[in-house]
Amino acid sequence: MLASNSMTPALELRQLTKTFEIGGGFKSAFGRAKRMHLAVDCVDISVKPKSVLGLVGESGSGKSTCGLMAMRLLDATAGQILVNGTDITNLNSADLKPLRRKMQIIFQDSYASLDPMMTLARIIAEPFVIHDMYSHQERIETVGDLLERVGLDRSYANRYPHELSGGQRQRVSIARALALKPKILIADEPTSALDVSVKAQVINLLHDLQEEMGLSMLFISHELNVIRSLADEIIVMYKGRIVEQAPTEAIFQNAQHPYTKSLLYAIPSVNPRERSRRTFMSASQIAADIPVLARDDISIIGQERSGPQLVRISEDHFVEATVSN
Amino acid sequence: MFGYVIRRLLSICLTFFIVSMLLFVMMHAIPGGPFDATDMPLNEAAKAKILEKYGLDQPLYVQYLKYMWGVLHFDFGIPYQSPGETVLELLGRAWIPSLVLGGAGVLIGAPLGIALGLMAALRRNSWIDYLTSAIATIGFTIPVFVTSMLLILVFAVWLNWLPASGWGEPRKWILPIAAYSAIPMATYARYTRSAMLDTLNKPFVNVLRAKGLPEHKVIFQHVLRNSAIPMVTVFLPMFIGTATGSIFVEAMFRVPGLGAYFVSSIVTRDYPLEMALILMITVMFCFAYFLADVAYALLNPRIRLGGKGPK
Amino acid sequence: MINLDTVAPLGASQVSPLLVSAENLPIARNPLYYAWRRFLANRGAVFSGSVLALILLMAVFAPLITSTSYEEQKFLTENLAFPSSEHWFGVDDLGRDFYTRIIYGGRISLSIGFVAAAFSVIIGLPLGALAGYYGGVVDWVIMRIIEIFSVVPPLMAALLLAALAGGGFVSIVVIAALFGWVQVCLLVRGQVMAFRNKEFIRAAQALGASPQFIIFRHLVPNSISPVIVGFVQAIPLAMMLEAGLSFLGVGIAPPLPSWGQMINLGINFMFFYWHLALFPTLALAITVLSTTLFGDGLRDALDPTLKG
Repeated sequence: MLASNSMTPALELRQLTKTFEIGGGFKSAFGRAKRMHLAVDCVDISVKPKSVLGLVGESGSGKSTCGLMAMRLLDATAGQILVNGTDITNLNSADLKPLRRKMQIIFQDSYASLDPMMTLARIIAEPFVIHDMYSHQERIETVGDLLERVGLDRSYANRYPHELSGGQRQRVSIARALALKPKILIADEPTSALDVSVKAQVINLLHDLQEEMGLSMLFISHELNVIRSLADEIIVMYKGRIVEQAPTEAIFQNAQHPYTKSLLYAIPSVNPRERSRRTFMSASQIAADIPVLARDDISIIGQERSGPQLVRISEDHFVEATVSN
Repeated sequence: MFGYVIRRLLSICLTFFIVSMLLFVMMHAIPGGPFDATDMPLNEAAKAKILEKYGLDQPLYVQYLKYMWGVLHFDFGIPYQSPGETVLELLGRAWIPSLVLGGAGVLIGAPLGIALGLMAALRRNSWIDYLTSAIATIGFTIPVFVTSMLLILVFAVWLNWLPASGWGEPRKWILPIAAYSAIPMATYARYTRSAMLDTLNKPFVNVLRAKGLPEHKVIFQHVLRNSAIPMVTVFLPMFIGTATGSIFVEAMFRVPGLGAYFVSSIVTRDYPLEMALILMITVMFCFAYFLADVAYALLNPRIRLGGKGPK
Repeated sequence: MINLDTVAPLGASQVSPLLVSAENLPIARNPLYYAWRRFLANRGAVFSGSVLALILLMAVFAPLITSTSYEEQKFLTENLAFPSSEHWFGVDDLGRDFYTRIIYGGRISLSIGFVAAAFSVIIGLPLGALAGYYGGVVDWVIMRIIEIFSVVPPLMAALLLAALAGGGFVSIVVIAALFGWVQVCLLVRGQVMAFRNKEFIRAAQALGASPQFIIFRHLVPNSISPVIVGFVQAIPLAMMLEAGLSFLGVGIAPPLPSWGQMINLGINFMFFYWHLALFPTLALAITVLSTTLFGDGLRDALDPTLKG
C-alpha cells in the first residue's frame, strides 16, 4: 500500500494485474500457445477520500484498463479492488449491484457514451430505472435538476444526443454518472476529445462538482496540463507499471523518472523560449536513464527484487529506480 | 494461419456430418417407401424380401452408418428407378447437361457482367450505367424460372426463333444458357460496378493519375486488382450453384440434368439417388465456402497474422 | 474557478453562457425521422413502394374488385379464351376467370411472404442478439447452425421438406421461415456486435444493468434498422420459394390459386394460349421486383453500411 495516512482509501487497487491474449481465440484446444500481452503489471493505486488522483500515461500504458477493472467492467487477471475497504474483486453481479451506486465512470467518447435512440431524459433517468428509484414525476424533476447542475437548461431533456455538441454530451454523461450520488467517480480521458476552450469548461464543472459532492476521483488522462488543475496527487504509468507517484506540484517541480520528465517536456507551451527543451525519448533511452539510487537514501516498497522497482524517496514521493548498494 | 485453416476444415466437416444425418432422417421420414403397395402391388413375402435386399428393414442408424461408410468409398448405391446402373454412373450421365448449360451460363454471364459493370463505373450516369443497373437488378431479383418463362415466351413462342425445350442439339441450348447466365451476369455487374466505384473514389487513384500513368493502366493494373477480392470469393459458390443445374430451368426446358433427376427422385422416393444428389451438392458447397474463407484469410492480413491486440 | 493559464493558455472565452435554453433549436427529431427523409428522396424506392402498396391493396380488397370466385368453373363454354372486355385476363382451361385467379393468387403469395418474413424475424432476431451480445461459444454454435442452413442448397432441402409435409399453406410458411431467418439473424448479429462495445453499453453495465436489460432496452432498439430491412427483404424470398415449390407441384394445391402453380399450368398451353403463362409470370415478376427495390431503398435510407 502506498497511502501514507491511515484513512481508509475510497478506492484501492492492490497488485492489480491484467494480461490479454493475442491471436488464437478460444479454440486453443488445438494446443497452440497464445501470445500474452501484459497490460497492467502489479499496480497499487489508492484514492484518498474526497481527493482527486490523476493517472497519467500514454496510450497503451494500461491506465484505462485500470479504470475499467476498478469498475468491474473488465475482469482482473490478479489482484484486488476495494471500495471503501470492501473487497469487490470477486463479487457476483447480484451482490455488486447495490455497490455500483457508489462508483461511476465517464468516458472519452462523448457520442458513443449516449444511446443515440434515447432522449436525454431517458438517458439520465436510466440509473433510476435500473435501481427502481423514484416515481415518474420525481424522475422528471430530478433529471431537470441534474441537467441544471451540469450547466444545461432543463428544456434539453427532450433532445437527442446527435443534437448536442461534444462538450454538452460530456455534461450529460456527467449528469448520468452523478444521478445516483456516487462517492467515487472515475473519469477516463473525459476531455481528450474536446476543444481547448470546452476542455476548460468541463474541467471547471468537474472541479466544482467534486468539491460540492465530496467525490473521490480517479482522473485518467494523458494531458498533464489538464491534470494539474484538478489532481491532488499524480501517478505516472508506463507500459503497465507505475513509474512515479507524488503530489501534483512535486511532480511538476521535482520529477525524478525520465518518463515523467519527457511527459513534462511534451506539454504544449506558448513561450517560444521553452519550446526548445522538448525531447522525445524512446523506450530504451528511458530504460537507460532510470535513476540509480543508493540504498540508504530510500526505502523499498514490498518485496525487494533485482532490477528497477518502486522505491520511496520521501514521505509521499515514489519512483521506479534501480537500487545500488 | 495454419491453425485457422485446420479449424475451418474441421468445423466444415462437422457441419457436413450433421447435415447428412438430418437429411437421411428427413428422407426416410417421408411417408411411404419406394415399394409401396399402391405403386407396385406385392404380396407380403415378396415385399419383405425386397426390403431386405435393399437393407430397408434395418433400424435407421444402422442404415445411416452403412450408407456413410459407402459414401466414403464413393459408393452411393443403386438408384431404385433404374437398377441397371449405380447411382454414380447415373449421376455421371446426368451431370453433363447441367454442367454444360450451367457452366456455360456462368462462364458467359460473369465476364459479360464484369464488362458491363466496368463500363457502367467508368461512364457514370450515362445510358450504359442505367442499363447495367436495370439489368443487374432485374436479373438478380426476378426468380430464375420467371426469367426462363419470359425468355421462352419471347423467343420461342412469339418470335419463334429458338426451340423451347429438349437437350439434343446445340440450338436447343441457347435459351437455357441465357437463363442460366442471368444471375452471374447480374451479380457480377453489380459487384464490379460498386467495387470499381469505391476504388475509383480513393485518393490513391488520383495520385497515380497525377504521376502520369496512362488511364488504361490505372484501371487495369491497379483499380481492378483492388476491387477483385469480393469478386473472387463469390465466384466459386456461384459456379457450383449454377453448374449443378437449376431445378427450375431444367424443368422448364426439359433438360435431363441433375435438377430434373432430383425432382423425379423425390417423387419416386428413390432414396439413394436423392441422398447422393443432395450430399454431393452439399459437399461442393462446403468445399466452396471453405475455399472462400481460406482465400479471404489469405488476402486479409489481420487473419493471416493472427488476431487483434489488447484494447 | 481554476485558471489553467499558468500551464497552457486557453481561448479568450473561458466562461461562455452555459444555461442556454434549448428552445431555439429546431424540433427534436428521433434518428429514424431522418431515415424516412432519406428514403423519400430516393425516387426509385418510392415508386416501388407505391407499386407494392397498390398490389397489396388489390390483394386485400380482392372480393371488391373481382366479380366471381376463383374456383368456380363457370365459363366452360369460353374455355381458354384470350383476354376480352368481359374477362380481362381471359379464361383458363377449367373455365375459371383468369383475372380473378391472378388477384387471389396475389393474396396467397403475399400473405405467405409476410407471414414467413415475420417468422424469420421472430427466429432470427433473438438468435442474432444472443450471438452478438454473448459472443464466444454462443456465437460459435449459432454460426455453425447458420452454416448448416447455408451449405444445403435451400431449394433442394425445401423440396424435400415440402414433399415430407405434403404442401399446403402452413408448411410452406414454415419452410420459407426456416430458410429466411438466417439473413435476419446475420444482420442483427452484425449490428449488435457493432454496438456491443460502445461506451453507452458499458455505462449501463457500470450502473448495474443486467444483460437482459441491456439487450432489450439498448441493443434491440438500436437494431431496428436491420430488423426492418431483414423483414422486408425476406418477403420476396419467401414468395419466390413458394412460387417455386408450387411450380414443382409440392406447394399450394388447386383449387387455391398460386402464381407458381399457374405458371406450371401455363407451360402446357404456352404455344397457343400464351396468356395463361404470361400473366402469372408478369404478376410474380412485378411483385418480387417492387418488393426487392423497396427493400433496397429502405436499407439505403436506414443504414447504407448494411449493404452486403
